[in-house]
Amino acid sequence: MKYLLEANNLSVYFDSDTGVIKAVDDISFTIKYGETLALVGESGSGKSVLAMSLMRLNEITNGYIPNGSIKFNLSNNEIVDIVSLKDIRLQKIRGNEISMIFQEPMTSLNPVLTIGKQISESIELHQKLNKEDARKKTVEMLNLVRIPAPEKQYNQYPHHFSGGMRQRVMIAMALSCRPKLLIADEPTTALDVTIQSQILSLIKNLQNQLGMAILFITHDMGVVAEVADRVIVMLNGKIVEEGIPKQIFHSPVKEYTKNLINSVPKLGSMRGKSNPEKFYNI
Amino acid sequence: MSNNLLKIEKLVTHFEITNGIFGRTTGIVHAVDDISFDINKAETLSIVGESGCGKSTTGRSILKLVPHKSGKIIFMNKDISSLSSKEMQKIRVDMQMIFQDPFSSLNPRLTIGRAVAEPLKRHNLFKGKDLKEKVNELLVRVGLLPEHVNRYPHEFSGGQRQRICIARALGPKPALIVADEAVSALDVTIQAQIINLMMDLQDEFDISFLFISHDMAVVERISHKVAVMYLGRIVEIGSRSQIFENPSHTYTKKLLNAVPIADPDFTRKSVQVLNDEVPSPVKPVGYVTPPVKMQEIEKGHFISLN
Repeated sequence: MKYLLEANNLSVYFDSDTGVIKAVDDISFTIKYGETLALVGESGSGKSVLAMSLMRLNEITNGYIPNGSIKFNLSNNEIVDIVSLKDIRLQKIRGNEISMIFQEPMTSLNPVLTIGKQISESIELHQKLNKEDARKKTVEMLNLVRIPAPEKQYNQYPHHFSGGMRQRVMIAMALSCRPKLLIADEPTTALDVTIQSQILSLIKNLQNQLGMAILFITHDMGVVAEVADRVIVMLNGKIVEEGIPKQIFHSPVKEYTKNLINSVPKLGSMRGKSNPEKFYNI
Repeated sequence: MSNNLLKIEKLVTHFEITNGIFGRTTGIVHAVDDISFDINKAETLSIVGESGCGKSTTGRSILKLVPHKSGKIIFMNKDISSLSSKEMQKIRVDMQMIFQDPFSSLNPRLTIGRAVAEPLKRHNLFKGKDLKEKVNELLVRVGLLPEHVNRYPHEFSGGQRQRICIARALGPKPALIVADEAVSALDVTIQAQIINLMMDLQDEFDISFLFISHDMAVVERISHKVAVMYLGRIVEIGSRSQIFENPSHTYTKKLLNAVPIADPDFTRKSVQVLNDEVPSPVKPVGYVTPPVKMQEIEKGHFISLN
């Protein structure tokens, strides 16, 4: 297949007392092998729901896909449609071919298991290795994400780590099975800016090493400018605009995108100005 | 006549960490550890720093929401450092606060009309028909409608709730508003509108802002002066252009370098992938922090030497 992932006419609906909520409304897009696609939008745009739908995780919260397809090219070159895939096959893909990291590492990590156990669990499950080999691989992964003294840290619990370190653990877990697609949902939003830049660097390095595609969901346009090969802008469940970063930032076409870009404070834009300045054209 | 509104001198706020059933103090959090700065009338001073640097505690100490250990707080030429709660009531007319989370800042059981009226009633500023009119006027000023007066907070979006909080803070006509991450939880387009609103209000009413934030790009937009905090201390302070165009302390440079630029043409200098963990502000009981040594590197621009 030309693309790693191809979504066509995808919708995700939730039933509510007031009727059907069309969180994702008939959208189509592609993800190329090894690229970083940034998915931006404000709250309620549907970006997180879309991300979760790629692994059919919305079913947990009673979301459903009424129509559309998500074609995905597996490592063995088989092409599957995630929307219609049987659960048992989907489970083999989750955490293995497609992996996800979330915004709040503390709520994503099991607080009663050591971080080592959590990572090796995933490896044992997907790679059919014995405990000892899985442990070795886990230590390798902890090293890869630059957690110091990985042999010792294997036995630590999540609450022993800072936010930045926990996010590294999450990344180690997500990448342990060398996924072809990493879905990163606001992975650095909860982190301090100096830690964020380290984590972004780390993700980029690992992407290059593993030849992995990333769907990077964020509301931070600065992060988008830094990481994205292509950008999709979402509003109310629909795609408003897509393009390469230069197009989106320097020559946005749609009103919403223009408004979005004009609302973003750009560090360095006040150079030479003596007084504070309002945002214009918003 | 002095233009100075707020003067903070060598402010220290510590918190005790207690352990065990006897509540023995096992450590002290040096949240704010000897800081000094001024804010003038109709001026915005931003305090920036990462989590745990002490910026929120600074805001709360100034408002006397947490007790400070030592140092002076001089507001409108009056030393308010040792005032009692009762005495602070009168001062609070002139000193208001807006918090980060617009959801927990509003009492869910009060209509927004009552929420906005509350400080006006508390300080006996308006009554009866005048109060109603004033509330309507405030709501309109922040971009809401008078009809909204009988609605409850849950009926509004995050941005609208923050506007309600601003209307509430604005009512008593304060000289100073402490905004603690007031726009951090908002969508970027809403954030820009709220920032514009705050700047309009500053022009119209000569309000000063103590703007506490971790977002350097927002701070660059709205500030006259900037103080950078790290581990309870101000490591660098100066005008906005001095800090952003001539950052001089190692930490300030590190902070600015880490901020992602919203421009795809800009390539950041490669960042070393280190495991930088912030040292802890917790110190043993009895530890005395050496007094701050600041050096003036250009007029009004200071950096910390320790």
